[in-house]
Amino acid sequence: MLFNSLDFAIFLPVVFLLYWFVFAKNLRGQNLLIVVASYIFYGWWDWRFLGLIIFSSACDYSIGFLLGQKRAQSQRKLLLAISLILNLGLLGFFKYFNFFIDNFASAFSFFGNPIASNSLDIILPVGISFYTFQTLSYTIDVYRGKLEPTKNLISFFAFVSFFPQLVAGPIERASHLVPQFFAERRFEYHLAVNGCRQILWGLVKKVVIADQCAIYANSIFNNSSDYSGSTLVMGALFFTFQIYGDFSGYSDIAIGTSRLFGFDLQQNFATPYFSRDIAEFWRRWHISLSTWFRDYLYIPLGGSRGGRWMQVRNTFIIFVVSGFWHGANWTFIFWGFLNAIYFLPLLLAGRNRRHIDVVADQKILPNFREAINMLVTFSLTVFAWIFFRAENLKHAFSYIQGIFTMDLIKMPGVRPSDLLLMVALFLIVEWAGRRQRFALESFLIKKPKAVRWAFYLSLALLILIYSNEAPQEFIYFQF
Amino acid sequence: MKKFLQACLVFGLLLFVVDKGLYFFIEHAPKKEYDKRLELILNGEMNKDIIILGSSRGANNIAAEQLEKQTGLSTYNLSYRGSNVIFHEFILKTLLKYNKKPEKLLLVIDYENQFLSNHSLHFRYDRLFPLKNYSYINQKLIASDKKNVLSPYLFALKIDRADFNLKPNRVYPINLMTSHGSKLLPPKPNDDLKYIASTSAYDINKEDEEKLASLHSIERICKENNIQLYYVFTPIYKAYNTDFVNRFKNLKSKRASIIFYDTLNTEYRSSDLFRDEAHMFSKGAQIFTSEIAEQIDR
Repeated sequence: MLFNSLDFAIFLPVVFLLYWFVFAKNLRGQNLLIVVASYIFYGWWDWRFLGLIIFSSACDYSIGFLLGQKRAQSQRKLLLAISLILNLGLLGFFKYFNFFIDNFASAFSFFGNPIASNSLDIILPVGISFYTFQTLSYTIDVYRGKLEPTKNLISFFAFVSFFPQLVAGPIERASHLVPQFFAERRFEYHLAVNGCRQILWGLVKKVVIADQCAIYANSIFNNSSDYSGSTLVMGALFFTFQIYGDFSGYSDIAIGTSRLFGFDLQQNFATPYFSRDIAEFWRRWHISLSTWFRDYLYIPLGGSRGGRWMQVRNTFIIFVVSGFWHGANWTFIFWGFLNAIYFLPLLLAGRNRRHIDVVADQKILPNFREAINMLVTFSLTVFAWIFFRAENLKHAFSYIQGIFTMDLIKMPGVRPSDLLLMVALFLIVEWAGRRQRFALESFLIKKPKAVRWAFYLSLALLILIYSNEAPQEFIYFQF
Repeated sequence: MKKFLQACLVFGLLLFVVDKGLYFFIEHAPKKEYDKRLELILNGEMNKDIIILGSSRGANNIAAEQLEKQTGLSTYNLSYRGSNVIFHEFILKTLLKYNKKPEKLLLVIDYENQFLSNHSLHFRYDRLFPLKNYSYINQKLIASDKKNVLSPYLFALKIDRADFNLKPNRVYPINLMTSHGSKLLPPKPNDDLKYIASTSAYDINKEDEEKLASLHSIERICKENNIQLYYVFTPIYKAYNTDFVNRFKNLKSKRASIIFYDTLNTEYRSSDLFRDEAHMFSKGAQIFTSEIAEQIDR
């Protein structure tokens, strides 16, 4: 079920009313409703893969339970290994099997021993990368003793399948989300209104920005050889806003929806395109994944404790693995690698934690230096997105080659003025709300209610009008 | 909770009220259109004896006013550039729903492109969008997944962004229409046009089932309404594909007639008559229209 669909527009109020009216004073009932609603939400896409979520939930529930019983370190290690093998095995099979088979076959062919590539016709279950990492965080945290294993089956199943963030995150930590399933929930007006604002802004990002940019980005990337250098730059820019609007829009809707049910999910994006360097960008982009890799990969690998070489090695590992997490394609690996290259100078100079505050925090506009830093960081990010979007590495390099021609200084052939205006207005609101968890959180909050509501009504109308065009799936569903 | 539900309700009501303001743009949309043929059909103002359906071949190569004069039967050309047979079926159904049935229907065939899937001939939804205020059209758009099922109730879901521009749509010379719906092209020197003598094999496997079904549907509708159906093959500046023509003869019902251009007429060997291999200038259209008039009268 898509967040920007009529199905969800009916589904959400029904579940909301059942949750707060029928099961209002029954925590177990509310959790059970979440499980059922989540399975309906997921099964709407393909009910056959529900079995996978149930299997994954049952395994990690059992392993967590056993981890709570066992004291011997060897047994605990074995249980953790089983969880890792099961979860990563499923992820590996569904997501990476064909990639490895095809690359093995190519490697053999390269060395003069051609073999047939017997790739399988595998459907990638939506959201598998997200819920796998979420359940893994549970087992690892229980193993580390940071979290008590839960004995409540329904609460655990609700944690794994919680529908707002099931298919595209944020990837919640068990230590943050599981306890919320045990806490009594009370409806709070200001939280619900705040949630609605975030849903509204998420829909604007998805329907008005991302889906519109997608039309041009797809057209330019799919026919890149036909376009001039300047138009290719426009294509990369459109994709830059598409992926941000798409993914952060999804996160906003997920967080806002969760708030309607009394849950607090972690912030996933913090205006990343206003970052002053790449290190800051990665602290602001897909925060739940970056911190997951930091806590469960970077730190266990030694983090920054073992000297400069260890730091560099670990940095490259998490960037490349993070790229590979996005998809079984060399383009994603290269994208991760490229970001590691961007990050390296900051790491070596010890300047990777220079910008931990919000840009132009006490000011309306950034100063010249901040503006230049933001522009450079943004340009590097746009360049890296070309690899992310391209069909393969060859396509990416030919796209880049196409940019650096004499046509680069000509007016782009594609410049939809209404969309460019929308993106500009969108950036203004995002800039104004850069200190908040989402742009609308306090935008116009001090203005009279009539002004605020007029603005919200305009946004709602915009969403409806723009939703007339064919809705696009969320990009991160494929990850 | 009560306060929250009240706020949601008030917001929803306000949205519903504000939404009604969009009606102005939707209502104005048809007025911007140069091509009003579909609107005339919907308003029941297309009561003619002979109707011509087809793509640009039909629009450019048949002069409806001339046919009217020569046959003495009122004639109108409802051919749309780039349209496919599924669209032609839709136009015919719409015509019969709102107008008196014609005596004769000329369906122009796009030779080997007629049934191919993934060809550049389309269902011309762009002709429907400005007329979405007609419930019949909007229902068609909903059925085709081009509009939301709630669009009959919310104008924001019905409106197209182009509707906000109130200026009349630009008309390109190629789309200029005569009073009878034909789009006759003024002659121009065309020395570069070369006759193509070769043809490629016709692959039945590449046919689109939906397009075949539309052809059969048109035949059935014509039979039920006692409309004389003519399939028209307009002149082309290339050798015609005999594989396709034979295939077509097998597909069509016995009841329908074929009007094939006179391949022995040497006038059609002059490149001056053609803008390209499939489309003729007005002079060529006049010659071919006379041929049609003769065959209809026979």
